[in-house]
Amino acid sequence: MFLNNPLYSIDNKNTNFCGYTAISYVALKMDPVGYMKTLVELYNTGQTKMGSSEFKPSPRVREFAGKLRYKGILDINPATQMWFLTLADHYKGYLNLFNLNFHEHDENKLWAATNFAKFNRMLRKLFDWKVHAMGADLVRPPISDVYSYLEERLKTGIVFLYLNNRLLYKKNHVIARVGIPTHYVLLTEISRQGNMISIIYMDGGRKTHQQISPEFLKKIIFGITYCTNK
Amino acid sequence: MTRQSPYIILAVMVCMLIVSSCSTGRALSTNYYLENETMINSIRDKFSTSYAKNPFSIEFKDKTFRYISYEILSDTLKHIYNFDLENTDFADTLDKYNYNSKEIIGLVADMRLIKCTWISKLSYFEDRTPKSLVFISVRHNKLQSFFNGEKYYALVFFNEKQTFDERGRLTDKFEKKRTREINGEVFRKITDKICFAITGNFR
Repeated sequence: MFLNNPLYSIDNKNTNFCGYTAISYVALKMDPVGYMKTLVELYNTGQTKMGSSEFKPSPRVREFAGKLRYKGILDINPATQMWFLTLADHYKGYLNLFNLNFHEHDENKLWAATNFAKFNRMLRKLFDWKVHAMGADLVRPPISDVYSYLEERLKTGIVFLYLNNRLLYKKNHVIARVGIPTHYVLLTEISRQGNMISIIYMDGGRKTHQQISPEFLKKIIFGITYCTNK
Repeated sequence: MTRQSPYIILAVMVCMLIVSSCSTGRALSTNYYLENETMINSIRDKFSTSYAKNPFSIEFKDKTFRYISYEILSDTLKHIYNFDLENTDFADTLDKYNYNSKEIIGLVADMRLIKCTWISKLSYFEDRTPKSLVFISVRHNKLQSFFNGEKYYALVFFNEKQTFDERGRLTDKFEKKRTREINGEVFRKITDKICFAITGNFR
């Protein structure tokens, strides 16, 4: 299944791997052979390189890679588990300071979390791109017409969104007073239908289409990362 | 009576309220499925029958059970549409995507009756073999409290018998000492194929 449909390997169910899956999807699309070679090399030898980063995961990560369970398709993709755990092990942001070293079940915890600055730093290290980022972990980007901004950027580059996922995919009926972003997706299309906006994005290996209002779009977005070739 | 007496009484009352909130959840869990077995199984069966023709998930977005989110699942794309059930566009969309609108609307009506907030199919792997289960969540009044916050009664329906430990917790079939998690929660036995959990999220 992994080789017949590589997209099945890009999943993040029940983990904090969404940032890594969004980045990995782009790597897979741009250079599927190179991406697969990287994963296989890492899994077989315990080290690999991508972009300007050299990866050598810690012994504990190497021990647990392949043993993550109840994560959907990730259960049967040990090489992808190794890759995501390695990315989390290698790149650190302020959220990871609370939990720096991997222990069992840390794939669901702050150890694997990705703040916005860390996400953008990963992109700069892994790809030869110009990376423009707007927004922050607690502050929305100062853009009045988010739809037009995204529509223009999609014409000339790759766009990632940093979202308040609790609003996009409600999991309970609590009315959150303080919205925080927790999720990364790759935006692939945006269009208007009447007074609604259609967005299509890659989320954990699955292409998803939602219709939302312009106000809701502005509300859920905390970060926009726009990448172009140098 | 001493000056501290009113504060002691207040502290004891607060503790009793907290304890009663916890025990309400446990009492509900043992009885709820049995009391509503016919309706719950009917919802599961209707969902499974319709899902087999055309995959989907249903979410009730609000506590009044008026607004739903309907997920249309195809091989290439997941569409998520939001509807006000008091309008007709839900039925129109179902027809457009070749769902049996009468069946789905009937299912939605049953879900509303028992305050079922979410129904979906989850896939998982057992010994590298893909399998699936039906997952439903119910928002029961007895589970909501100031101290516990939002809670839901989640039920999962397997197609095969499962294994449990001495405390009734769902375990991994191959690593019997390992508790099995579904959406990050540990589930407990109702029958060999049906389990429940009290969760903070409905999905």
